[in-house]
Amino acid sequence: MIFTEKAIYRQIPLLDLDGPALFALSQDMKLSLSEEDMLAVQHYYKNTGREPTDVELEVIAQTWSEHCKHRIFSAEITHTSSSGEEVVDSLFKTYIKEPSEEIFEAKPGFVLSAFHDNAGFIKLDDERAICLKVETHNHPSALEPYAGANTGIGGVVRDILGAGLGANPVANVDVFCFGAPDTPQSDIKGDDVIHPLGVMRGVVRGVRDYGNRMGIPTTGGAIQFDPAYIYNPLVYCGTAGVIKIKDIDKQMAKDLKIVALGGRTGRDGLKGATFSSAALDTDSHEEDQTAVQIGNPIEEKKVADCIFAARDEGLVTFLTDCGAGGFSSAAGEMLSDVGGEIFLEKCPLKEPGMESWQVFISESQERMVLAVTPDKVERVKELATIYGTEATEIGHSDGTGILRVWHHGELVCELDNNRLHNPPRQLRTSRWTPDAPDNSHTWADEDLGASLDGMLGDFNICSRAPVIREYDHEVQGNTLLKPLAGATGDAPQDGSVIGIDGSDKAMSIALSLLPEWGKYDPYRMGKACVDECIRQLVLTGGDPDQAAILDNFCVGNPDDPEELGALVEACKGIAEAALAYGAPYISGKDSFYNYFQTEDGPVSIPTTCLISGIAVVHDRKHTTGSSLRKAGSALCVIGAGSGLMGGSVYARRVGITTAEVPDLDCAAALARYRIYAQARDAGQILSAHDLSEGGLGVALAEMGFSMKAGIEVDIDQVDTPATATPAQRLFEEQPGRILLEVDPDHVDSLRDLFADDSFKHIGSTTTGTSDLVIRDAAGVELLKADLAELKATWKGTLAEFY
Amino acid sequence: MPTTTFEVTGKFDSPADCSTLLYAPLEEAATYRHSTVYEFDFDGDAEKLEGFAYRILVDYHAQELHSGDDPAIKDFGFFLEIGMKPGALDNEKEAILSYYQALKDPGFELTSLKILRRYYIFGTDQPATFVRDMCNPAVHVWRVG
Repeated sequence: MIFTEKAIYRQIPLLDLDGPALFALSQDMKLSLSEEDMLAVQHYYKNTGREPTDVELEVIAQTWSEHCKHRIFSAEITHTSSSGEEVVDSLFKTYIKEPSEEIFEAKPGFVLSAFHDNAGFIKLDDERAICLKVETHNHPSALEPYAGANTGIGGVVRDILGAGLGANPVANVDVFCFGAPDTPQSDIKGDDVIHPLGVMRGVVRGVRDYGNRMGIPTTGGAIQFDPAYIYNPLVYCGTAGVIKIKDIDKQMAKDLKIVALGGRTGRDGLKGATFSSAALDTDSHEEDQTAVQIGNPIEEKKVADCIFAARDEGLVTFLTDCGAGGFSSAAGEMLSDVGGEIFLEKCPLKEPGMESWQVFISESQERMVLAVTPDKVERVKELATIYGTEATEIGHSDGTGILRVWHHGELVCELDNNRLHNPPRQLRTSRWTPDAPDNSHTWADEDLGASLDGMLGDFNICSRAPVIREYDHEVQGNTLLKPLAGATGDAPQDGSVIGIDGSDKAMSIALSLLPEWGKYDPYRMGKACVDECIRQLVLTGGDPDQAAILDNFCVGNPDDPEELGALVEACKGIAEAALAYGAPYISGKDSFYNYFQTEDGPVSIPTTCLISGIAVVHDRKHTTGSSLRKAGSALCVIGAGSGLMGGSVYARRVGITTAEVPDLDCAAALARYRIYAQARDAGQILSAHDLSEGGLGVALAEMGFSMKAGIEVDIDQVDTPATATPAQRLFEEQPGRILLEVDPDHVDSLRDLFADDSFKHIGSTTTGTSDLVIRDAAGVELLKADLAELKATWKGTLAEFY
Repeated sequence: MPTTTFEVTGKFDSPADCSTLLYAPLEEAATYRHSTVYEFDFDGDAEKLEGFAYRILVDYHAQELHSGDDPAIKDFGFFLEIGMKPGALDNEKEAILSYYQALKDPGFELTSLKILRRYYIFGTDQPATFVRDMCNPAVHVWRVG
C-alpha cells in the first residue's frame, strides 16, 4: 500500500490583499470563487488571526462551489416578467422545498425522507421504501465522453449506496442531450471540440460499461438532439433504489470512527466540483485533464456488496459517498455538526508524492465513507477483505463542532463548520419578457404521409434501439415493462416498471424533458414536463396519488438575465404542476455554465429541465404497455387538444418558432389520470400511449409498431378546436392527453367514466392489413401509410450512426 | 533499464470499415485492423517476462503475441497509436500491475508499463482525420507511424 511520507502544504497570504487581488488569487488557484466570496474568506481569517492553508482554501472552494452548494438556486433574484417585477427569495425554497413540504403535510407517511440525504425515499409497502436520484455529469462528458459518462453513472449509484444505511440499486436511467450526429464538421466553431457523434458514442458506451458491469439494469432513458448541445452535451444519470424502512434513518454522533471504504485515492478527478461550476472553452481540454475521473465498476460492485453486508449486520451508524470534493465533502458532511478529525497519512493512495490538499480533495472514484462505533471497525475491515475491497480507518468524530485535518502531525486544515457551510448569498437579476406569440400560421399540409414519415425519422423521435440495446435491461430479473416491448420486442414504451423483490408491489419510473418548449415558454415547459412524467408513471401502472418527482435543471449562462429569467419561469411552472398533482419533489440537482465561447461568440444550451419520477404500482398485473395488442380494438383519445403548435416537433420542422406553446389544466389532468388508473386496474385498458412529441400521428404509428394490426382513424373525431387543420389534429402536442386501445365492449362504460372529460372514440385497429389510414368525417383519405415502412424509417435513422 | 515491447493481435480479425472510427465517411474506402501494444520497462529475466506476458495478455485460442518493435501487421498506409496520458487511470494497466504485484518471485522487476491501442489503416495515408476523431487531448497521447 502507498501512503504519503510527509505533509506537503503551504500558507496562502491573503489577509492584506484587496478585492481584485483576492479574485486574481482565486483565478490562479482555480477556486472559482468570486471576489465577494474571497472577501468573506478573508474576513473569516482576519477573525482567526492567521493566513489560510492551501488545503483550507481548496475545501472552501469545493464546498462553496455551485456544484456542491447550489448557490444560484439559493440566491435572491429580482425578476422582471410580463407580470411586473418580483423578488424571488431562493428558487429552491420558493418553488421546490415549500410546495413539496405542503404536499408532505397533505400526504403524511408517504415521503419518508427528502432534501437531506443522498436520495429521497417514498413508502412502497409496510416494510420497504423506494428512491430515485438523478445527477448530471456534463462538463466531464464534454471533455472526455466515455470517462465522463462512465463516472456519472458510478457517482449516482454511489448516491443510492449512500442513501440511508445503504439502499440497493435496482434500475438505472439515462438522459442525454447531444448535437445531431450528422453535424457537418464545418459547423463546429472551436478547436478540440469533440464531434457530437464522438460524444454520443463515448457517452453511450461509458454508461454501458459501468451500469452493465455493476449488474444494474438500465430500464429507461431519453435522447434530445439540438445544435445548442454541440459544445455542451448534457448527461443525466439516474439510479433507483430500494431499502428497508428501518434502514433509512441515520444519525452522526461523537466518538465514532470514520472509515474509508473502496478504491484508493489518486490525482484523477482533482477539482471536479470547481471545474463543473465553470464554463468551457477551447483551453479546457489541455488544462482540465485531471478533472476527468476514470471509473472502475468492478471495484464499486465490491464496495456495494460490502456495504450491504455491513448494513445487514448492523455495523453502520452513518454512511455517505465520496463524490464532488472527495474526502473533504464526505467527511465535511458527516462532521459538519458534530466535528472531528481526519488523518490524511492514513489514506491509502494510488500513487506517491501527493500533496495534502490533493489527498483531501481528490475525487477518485468508488469510495464511500462510513461512521462506525469503535468496536465494529475490525468487522468492517473483515467484510472488506471478504468482498475484495479495502477499509481504512482515517479519523473520528469528537463533538467539538470543528473539522480538523491532520497530516503527519501537522494541522493542515481547521475550519468552523458553521462558517464553512454559510457562503455569502448571491443577489441576481433576471428577466423573461418575450414577444407575444403569433398564431397566424395556417398549418396547411399537402402531404400528411410524408410529414409523418419525416417526423418518425426525425432525430428527436426516431427509435433509440441502437443505444437501448447496449444496455442490459434484464439483469436482476425484475424488469416488468422494458424500454422496447410489444409483440416484436422493439416498440417504444412510455416508462418502465420494476418489480421489487419480496414485495407484491412494483415501481414505475418515467422521465420527461422538452427543451424545445423551453426556448419559447419555459413556464409552460415546466408544467408540461411534470405532467408528462406523471402521465407516463400512471399509464404504465403507477398510482397517480403515490408519485414523487425530481427536478434536474441544466442552464447555459446564469449571469445572463434572460437565461436566468427562463429558469425562474420554468421553476414557477414545475412548482404549480407539482402542487396540482400532489407530487412532491424528493430530490433535485442543477448544472450551470453550460455555454461555450466559440470564435463567433458564446453558445448556450436552452434551459433544459428534466423531470423524473417514481410511483407505486400496487399490483404487478397493472403494468400496461404502449403497443397495440390486437385487431378489432377501439382507439380512443382522452383529453382535448388546443390546436396550439408552439414548441412542437412539427413546428420546428417547418421552421415556425413564433407559435404559442400549449398550456395545461393540471387539476383536470389529474382527475383524468385517476379515472384512467381506475379503468386500468379494472382491466379495461389493452394498451395506452401518451400523446407527446409528434402528437397523435406519431403516437398512432408507435402503437402500431407492434405490427399486430392496421389502424383506421377519423381525424374529425379528435376533440380540438373546429378550425384546427388535419396537421394540427395529427401533430399538436397538447399535454395531458392519452391514446387508448380498448375492447369495443368497454367503449360505452369508459365514456361514462370520463363523462366530465373529453373522451372520443376516434377509430379502430384493423385486421388483414398493416396500413395506418387517416380519413376525415366525409371519408376522404388524408393519409395512408404502411406501418412496416414507417417503422423502417423510424428504426433506420440512428442506426446509421450508432 | 531495458524496454521490451509485445503486440497482441487477433488471429481471426479481418479489416473493418474505417467509417465506424470516424464522424463522417472518407472519400476513399479505407479499412483498419487493431492491436494492443504493451511496453514494459523491467530488470531481470527477459524470458520470464515474455512468459508472463504470454500467460496474462493473450488468449491463446484467438490471439497471437509478437515481440519486438516491428509492427505485427504489414502493408498498411499508416498506424495510429493511442494511449492514456500519464496520471489518467488505465484499468487494464491497473489489473496487470495488481496481478504482477501479487506474484511471488516472478524473476523480473517491472518498473513501468505503457499500453497503447494501435490502429493500422489501409487504403489511405492521410492521418489527420483519424487523429481529429479518435484522439482526445484531454486524456490521450498518440503517435502516427
